[in-house]
Amino acid sequence: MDTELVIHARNGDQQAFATLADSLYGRLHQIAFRILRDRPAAEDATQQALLLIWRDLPQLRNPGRFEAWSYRLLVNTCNAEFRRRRRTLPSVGAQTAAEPVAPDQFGRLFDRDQVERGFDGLSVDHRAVLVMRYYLDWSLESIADALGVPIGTVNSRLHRGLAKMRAALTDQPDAAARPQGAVR
Amino acid sequence: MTTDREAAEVIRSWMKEGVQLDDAGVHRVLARLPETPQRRHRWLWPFGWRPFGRGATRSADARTVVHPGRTRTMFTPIRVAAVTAVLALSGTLLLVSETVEPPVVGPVPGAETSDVSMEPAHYTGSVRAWETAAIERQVLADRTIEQWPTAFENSMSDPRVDGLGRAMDYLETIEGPDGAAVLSHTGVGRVTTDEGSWAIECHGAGSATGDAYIFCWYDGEEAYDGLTAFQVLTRTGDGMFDAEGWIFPGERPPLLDFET
Repeated sequence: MDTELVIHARNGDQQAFATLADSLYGRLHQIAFRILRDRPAAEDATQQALLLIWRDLPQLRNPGRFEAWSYRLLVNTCNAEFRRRRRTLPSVGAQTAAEPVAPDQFGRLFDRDQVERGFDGLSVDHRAVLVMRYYLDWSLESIADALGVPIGTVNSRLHRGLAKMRAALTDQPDAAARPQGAVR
Repeated sequence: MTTDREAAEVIRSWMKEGVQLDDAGVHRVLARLPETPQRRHRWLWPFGWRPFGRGATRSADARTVVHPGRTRTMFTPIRVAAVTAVLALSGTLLLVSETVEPPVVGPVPGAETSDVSMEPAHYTGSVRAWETAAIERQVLADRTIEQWPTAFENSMSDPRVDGLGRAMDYLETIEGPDGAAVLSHTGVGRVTTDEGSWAIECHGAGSATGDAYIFCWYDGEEAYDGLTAFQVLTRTGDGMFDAEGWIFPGERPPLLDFET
C-alpha cells in the first residue's frame, strides 16, 4: 500500500482516499464474504469498514500499518454486522448450493454443506483467524498484529476453529465413500 | 478420522475458491465521505477519549471546543476531583508510612530507594500511548460505550515502573444537554519492566476540552511482589501524559471507615 497516499488521506485528502479505497475495497469485500458467508452482509460490513477507515485514519500514526489496521476494522464491522443480522434475520450463513468442495490432497471429497455448517458454528473472531490463516496465508504473528491480540489468542482461536471444523467434517458419513458428485 | 492438517487443507481449498462479488459499493462509500468528518483528535491514554457531542464543534487547531454559552470552567469539577484525589492520596500515603506495619520486602532490583524501602518512593515521568481502535462500540441514546485495547510506554524516573504496558480500557462518553461530552473510563492491564511486572487498574475522567486525569493502582508481581504504586496522570497532548507516582511497600491502603 502506498504510504504517501495513506498520509495524504490521513490529512483529509478525499481523492487520495478514493485511490486507496479503490484498491482496497475488493480485497476487504472478499475477506468479509469469507468471514460472514453472506453477500449482503459482507457488502454492508465492507462499506462500513471503509467509512470507519476514513473517519479514524487521522489516528493511525504509522502509515506502514495501514493495511493490517484496515483488516482489524473490517473484522470489527463483520462482528457488528453478524450480530445485527442475527437479531433481525433468521440466519446469516451460507447461501450457496450444496456442491462438493474440490478434493483435497488426501483425495477425500468433503461435502460443501459439512464445511459450511462447521464454519457457521464458529464465532466471527474464530472465522477471522481461519480466513487470515488459510485464505490470506498469513503467519500467526501477522494475524496477531492485525487483530491486535496476543499471539497466544490467535493460536487458541486457530486451534479451536480447526477442532470445530474437524468435528463437523467427521460428523457426517465419510463423503469419500460416496460416488463423486453424489454428495447428498 | 480427520486430522488438523486435513481440515486445514479442506478449509484452504474451500476459501480459495473464486467468488464473484459486486465491487460497486466503493462508489457508495466515496459518495458518503463529504458527510463523514474525520476524527482528528484523540484525547486519550490510556483510553481513546474522543468527542461524541453532536452539538460540539471543534476548532481547526482544536484544543478548544466551542459551545455557545459554555466555557472551560464547566469542567472545574473534574479538576477539583483530581486535586482532591491527589490530596487524599498524599494523606493516605502519609498514613501508610506512619501506621502500617510494612511486610518484609527484599531488595528490589533497580530500586532507587532500597535503603529506605519502608518509605513511599516518589517518581515522575511521562506516558506515551500507541494508537488503538475500539473493538466494541455501543451507541446508546445519550452515551457511547467503547472497549479499547491500549499499548503504552512509561518513561519514569524510577526504573521499577519504567517499561511497556498493555491495557483493556472501557470508556463511557456522555453527552450533556448542550452537547458537551463528559468522559469516564476504567481499565485494567499490565506494565512490564526489565525486572518484573505490575498488574494495573486505572480510573479517570476527562472533558471535551481535552483535559484528562487518570489514577492508577499498580500491584507488584514477580520481583515487585509486596509493592504497590499509585500513579496520577495528567493529559498533555495527543496520547501523552505527565505522570507522578509513589511506590510503597504493602498492599493498597484499606478504605477509610467514615463512620468512626
